[in-house]
Amino acid sequence: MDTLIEAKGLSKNYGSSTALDNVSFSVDEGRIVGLIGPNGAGKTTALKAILGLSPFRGDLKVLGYDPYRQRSKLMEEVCFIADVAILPRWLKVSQAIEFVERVHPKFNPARAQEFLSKTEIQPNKKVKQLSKGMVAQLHLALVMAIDVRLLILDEPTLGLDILFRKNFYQTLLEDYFDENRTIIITTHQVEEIEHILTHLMFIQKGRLVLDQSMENIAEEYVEVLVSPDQTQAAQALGPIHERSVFGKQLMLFRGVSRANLETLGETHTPSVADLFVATMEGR
Amino acid sequence: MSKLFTLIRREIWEHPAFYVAPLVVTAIMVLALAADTLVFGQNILRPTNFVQFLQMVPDAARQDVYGILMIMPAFIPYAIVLVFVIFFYLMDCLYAERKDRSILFWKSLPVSDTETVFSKIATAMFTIPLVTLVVYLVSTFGFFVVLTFIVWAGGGNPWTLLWSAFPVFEVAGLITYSLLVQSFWFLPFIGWVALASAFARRMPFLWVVLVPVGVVIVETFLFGTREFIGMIGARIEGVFKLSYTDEDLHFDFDDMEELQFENTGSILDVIDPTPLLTSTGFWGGLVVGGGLIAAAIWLRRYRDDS
Repeated sequence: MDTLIEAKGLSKNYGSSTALDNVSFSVDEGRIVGLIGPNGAGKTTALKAILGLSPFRGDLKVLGYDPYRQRSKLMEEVCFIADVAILPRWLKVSQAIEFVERVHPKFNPARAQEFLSKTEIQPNKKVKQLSKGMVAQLHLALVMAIDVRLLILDEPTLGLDILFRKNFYQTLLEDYFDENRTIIITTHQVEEIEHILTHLMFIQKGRLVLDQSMENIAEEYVEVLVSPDQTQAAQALGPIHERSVFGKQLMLFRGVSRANLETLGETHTPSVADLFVATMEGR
Repeated sequence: MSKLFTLIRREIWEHPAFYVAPLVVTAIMVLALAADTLVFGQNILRPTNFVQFLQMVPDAARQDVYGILMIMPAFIPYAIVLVFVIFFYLMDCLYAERKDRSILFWKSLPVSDTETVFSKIATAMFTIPLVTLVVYLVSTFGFFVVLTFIVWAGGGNPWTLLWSAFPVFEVAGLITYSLLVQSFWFLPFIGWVALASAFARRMPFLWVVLVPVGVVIVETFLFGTREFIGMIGARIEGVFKLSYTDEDLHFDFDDMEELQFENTGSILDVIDPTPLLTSTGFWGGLVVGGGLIAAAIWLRRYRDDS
């Protein structure tokens, strides 16, 4: 399995504020990575560094390229959707397809047409005549018709309603993703993507505070709804986070064996959202 | 190369003004002529008057008279509009994409910043003038078709009176030459406006205008000289003095009447790029313009404010 992204000691300052603080990670082929963090944590900065859109300090290789120096070469093998609003308003749907076809060696226009035929988007319409959801569909159709190894989605469904969002991720998973492709997604709507992720990264104040596979997370993190009489015993095991739900304590443990915890109360695997809150508040 | 054409086509898609603006010039000229004839009762286009008028021109000078007195001057309004279209295009070309954030879409494709900026400079230097020239030539041709009917109606022979003396290739050649040398000569201006467009966070127009005005004011204040404004003035008029054998033929209307009746031969004879190509102003301008364009490329590539 190839390693697509290799980052060592990635740092970036904006003036006196630190956007990325000595971050190291790697991303292998065939993963769907959720990059999750609060606003201003450094997600977009990290993605921009990966895409060669902004300079940084440290070591970064994306598909073997130095992204900042070799951006145009890199873009033959990487695609990204930064935000739904970025397709130019004057561009016609047919022109978008024609343009990408002519500048991108790995674009398959028939495939893009096929995706678009399943939507209500008409080829002679301009982007400004499309609804926000349609613009996202158009962008997704363009991107999915490009045969690249790495796809980066930065808040791709921002401002779209839940039907579009569900459809967006479903299409991505069913019609696009396979073991040769890799996707990195940032979003605030964690619940909606958690079932498609293979890996999870949390970023907080420019630092990577969690970087694990979903399988590991299920093994390592256990949430327990502690019976009232077991509260003290549970606290002795050192939960990383606790909160009360209907008068009971809900505790999150890391690295404590599940068998051990089952004596304390009802156990289950925490949702990404709960894990996120616990990780962010726990420090 | 085909990528460059694709990028230039993209610019045409975004800016229909490239062809709409000269078409509006044509429309206004047609309306003005029609109003002149129909509303104000000018008689020049009435068939018999018109044929009489054309017959006054000596056959030997006919081609020069038409070319220099009728067809070439008709390009002047197109040329004025062309300057405005290029100016506003350049001011917008690296600014609008940042303003609407579509730059992130363009940058998500395998096109380098150098290729993008080159395509925009090439659009300003060649595409917009070429589109204007085509609209102008087609309009002129259409105008001659209309005149054909007028000559017919007036009992004249449209072939001898009009078409045999329609110097379309000479006119097209001379205008193409003029536009081409001007595009290169004005590269410092083109580069400056493009750089302001890449630099401005808002209102690129203010940067385009206020920076040179500031330089002039500071220079006057500090040194009491007017070198900079003099340089700009010399740049504006220089190309007209340097690229023709006889500057008066092209630009001084009074002398033109004498010249054209001499029937010196082809209109294209006035073309002479030697003084231009041997001037330091031409090559110096290319260096300055190239530097400004390089700065614009650098800004588009390294600026991180999207």
